[in-house]
Amino acid sequence: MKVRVLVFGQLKDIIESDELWLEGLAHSDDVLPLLQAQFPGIKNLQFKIALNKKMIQQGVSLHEDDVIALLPAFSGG
Amino acid sequence: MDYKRYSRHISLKEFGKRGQEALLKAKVLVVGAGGLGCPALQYLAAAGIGCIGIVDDDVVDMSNLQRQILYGAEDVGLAKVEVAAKKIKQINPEVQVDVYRLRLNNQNALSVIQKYDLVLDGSDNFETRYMVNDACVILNKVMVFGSVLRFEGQVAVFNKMDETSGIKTNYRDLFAEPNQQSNFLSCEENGVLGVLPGIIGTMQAAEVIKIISGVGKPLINKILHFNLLNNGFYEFELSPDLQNFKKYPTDEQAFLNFNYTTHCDHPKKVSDSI
Repeated sequence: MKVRVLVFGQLKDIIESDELWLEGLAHSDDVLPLLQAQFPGIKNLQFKIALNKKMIQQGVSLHEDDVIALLPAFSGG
Repeated sequence: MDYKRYSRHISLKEFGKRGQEALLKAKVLVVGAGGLGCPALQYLAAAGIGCIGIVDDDVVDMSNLQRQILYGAEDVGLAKVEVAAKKIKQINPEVQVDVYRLRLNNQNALSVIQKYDLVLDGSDNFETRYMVNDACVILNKVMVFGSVLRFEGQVAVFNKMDETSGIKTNYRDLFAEPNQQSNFLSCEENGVLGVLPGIIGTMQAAEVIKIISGVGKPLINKILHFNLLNNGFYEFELSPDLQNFKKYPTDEQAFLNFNYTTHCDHPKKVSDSI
C-alpha cells in the first residue's frame, strides 16, 4: 500500500521535503512509528496527522493513494 | 448608522443593512496587538464593529515595525494598546475601544473575555493560546484563531457549533497538550515574512465579520493552512478529541486553579510579540 504524505511547517526542516511517499502501511497507527524511525527529529515536534484532509482522532485503515498530512502547531502571532 | 461610511457594505446584497447593523452591535476582543492583531484591528474598526477590546502588555519595539503596521518609528517605546487604540479611533471614531494593558492570565482572563461576544486570538505564545482557548470554552465564546511561523500560517474558528452536525471543536481537539519543544520555534528566532501576519490577521478579521453578519461559511470545525511561498491553501476537518477533554479546565474554579505557566513551560521566555 502506497500513501502520499504532505508535510507542513517546521516538519519540512527535518523531513527535508514538503512531500513523500510511504509504502507498506495498512493502518494510520503505523504512520508515526515509521516516520519516527526514518526521521528521529520529529519526536521533538508537536503535530497532528490528517487522513484525506480529516484530522485523525483514532486509528483507521489506510487505502491505496490515501493522502496523509502532517500539521505542526504554530504559536507565532 | 453612518450610511455613507458603510455604503459599500450595505450595497452587498448578501450583507446589506442587516449585516452592518449586526457589526455595529458586536463586541470583539482582540488578544495581542502584534503582527496578527494590527491588521485585524484596522479592518474590524473600519468595518464598524461596535466595541473592540485590545489586550497587550507590550511596548512598540523597532523590530515590530516590519509587520505591525499600526505603529510607526515615532511610537517606539510607547504602549501598543494606547497607540493601537488611537490609530483605530482615527480610522473610525464611532467605534468604542476598550484598552487592557496587561498580560492575560488565569486570574484576569475570564473577567475580560466575558464582556465580549467573540475573541480574536492574535497572541504569540502557547501559554496565552491554551489559556484563551480554555477560557472561551468555559464562557462559551467563539474564538477566531490565527498563528504564523516563517512563511506559513493557520486560521480556524473554534468553539462554534456546526448547526447541521451539532459538533463544536476547539484548539485542544487539535493539539490536546502543549509540546515544550515547540516553544523553541518562536518567530523571534525563526523569523516571519512581514506580510504573512498581515494576510492571516486579515483572514481572521474576515472570519469575525462573516460570523457576526451570518454571511458565508466560516472555518467552523476546520483549520486552514496557508503557505505564502507556493500560495498553497490546505483545509483540515476537525473532530472532538474524546480521550483528552477532561485533562484541562472545563469550569471557572478549575481554570482559576490551573497553572498555565508550568503547563506550557517556556524553555525560553519570548518577549517579542510577532
